[in-house]
Amino acid sequence: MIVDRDICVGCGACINLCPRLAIRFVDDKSYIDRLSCIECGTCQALCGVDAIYPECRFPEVLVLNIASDPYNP
Amino acid sequence: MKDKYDIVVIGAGPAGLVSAATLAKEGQDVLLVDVKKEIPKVNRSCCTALISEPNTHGDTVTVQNNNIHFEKTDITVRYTGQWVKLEKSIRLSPGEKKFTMANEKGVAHPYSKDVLLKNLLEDAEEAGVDVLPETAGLKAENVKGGVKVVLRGCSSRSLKEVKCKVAIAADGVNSQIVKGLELYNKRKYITSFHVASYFLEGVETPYPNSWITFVGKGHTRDGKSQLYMLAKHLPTAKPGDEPIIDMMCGTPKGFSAKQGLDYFIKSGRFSHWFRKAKVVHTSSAALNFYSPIMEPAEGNILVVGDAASFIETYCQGAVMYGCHAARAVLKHLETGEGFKDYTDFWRKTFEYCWPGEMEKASRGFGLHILNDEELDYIFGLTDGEIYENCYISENSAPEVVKKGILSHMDQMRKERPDIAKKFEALMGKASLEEALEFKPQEKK
Repeated sequence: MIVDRDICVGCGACINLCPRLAIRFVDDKSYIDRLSCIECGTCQALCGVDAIYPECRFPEVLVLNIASDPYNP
Repeated sequence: MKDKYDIVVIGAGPAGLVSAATLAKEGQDVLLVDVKKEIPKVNRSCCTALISEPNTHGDTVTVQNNNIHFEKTDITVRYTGQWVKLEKSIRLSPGEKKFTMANEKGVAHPYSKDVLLKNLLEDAEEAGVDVLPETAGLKAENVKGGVKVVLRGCSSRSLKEVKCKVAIAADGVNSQIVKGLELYNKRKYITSFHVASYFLEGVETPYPNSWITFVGKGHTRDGKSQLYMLAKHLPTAKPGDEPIIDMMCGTPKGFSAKQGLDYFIKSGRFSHWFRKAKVVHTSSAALNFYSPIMEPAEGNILVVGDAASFIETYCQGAVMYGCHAARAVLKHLETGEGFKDYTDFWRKTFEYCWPGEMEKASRGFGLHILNDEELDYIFGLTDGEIYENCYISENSAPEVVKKGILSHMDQMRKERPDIAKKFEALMGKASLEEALEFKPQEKK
């Protein structure tokens, strides 16, 4: 999960409700430790101002290009 | 920062700050930790209204020389900000029919929590408390000879263990410390809520200086949200400034609080109030409601304020319980039995510890089983009336609404027997689960 720090108001709600303790305050706004995050979505569901998104924020704009190989660009 | 303290307080809210300062003044070596960098800055939605109703949480709180005075606890808390006097508490239906409660002394007095915390922090630092910001308290554990508290730095991400004689968990309604204690297993999970709120300038409301609860499904798109509006001051307000409006939206799990709020302001029934409004501050909160902890002490760990409560203790309750906790800790350090005083006091004074109170408070908001047309009818009956000497407290206000509506029961039975029947069922038999339209889950 990723926090949009422009939207996050820093209420701290997600910090204690993260089952992995992956969220902490950096400069009074939430920061999600991506090594600890398991993408469970708890924080996204509880955020009052909708500041938290899964890693892929706009899935609809991703165009599947079968011909390309991401490992051999 | 040292490895050993007499007392470690986790959470620098009203309860934590007051208990830390009180203990430090008595010569204890106190460490206070909080996740925030700027402790007085409040980004969490909070009504921050002082309720002067006698015996709120067992104490009577009044404003004296701009400060907050607790009669029975016998303390005065310094407050240097501005006050607003709310004259009316209004329940407003979508058709703008209302149920009005009033009090010439004020149904509540909103203040700025930022200023209150700033004053409390100054007092705590002056008393010699070691304040450690940007640090989270992860766990408190009873060990031989005291308590071991695990802390984590917010920027460094490093862990540190601190030993102390007594730890005070004051880290709020979603307390991390409480989750690690045995007493957490005795709590019953009830429901979850999240809240978003805007501070708005330039709102043209016909009800200035009022607390407004918007009742009914028609105010939001999902029909599940609860909206509240009150006047309060910004932390920067000077004497004579006009108060701003705090507009709050609370939603159950699965709905967006911010979308509910945006909808209400842009296209709700009362959107014309907000045509010239400007958002000056946004805040939010998430709450997991558990039944209150009946014995908020385990070994040498004491749980204070919202961390042990159902819903909240209000800021005034947090200050008072913080003070009582500090006194109990001092006695505990002397005799080893001080916590009993605190737990007894907690059970005696915190309303939700009493049987039936959780149900009573939930039922007050349970009017949502009626549809908007029915609500307009019911509030139409009470539209012209004003119920005097009321407060906004969630323990007494629902009773006033209930009595007020029941006084029109004869007329209702004649004109709308269908509503009368529904209403009687709601007020008479509904259990907590029915009132909340929610079945509690088994905790895993």
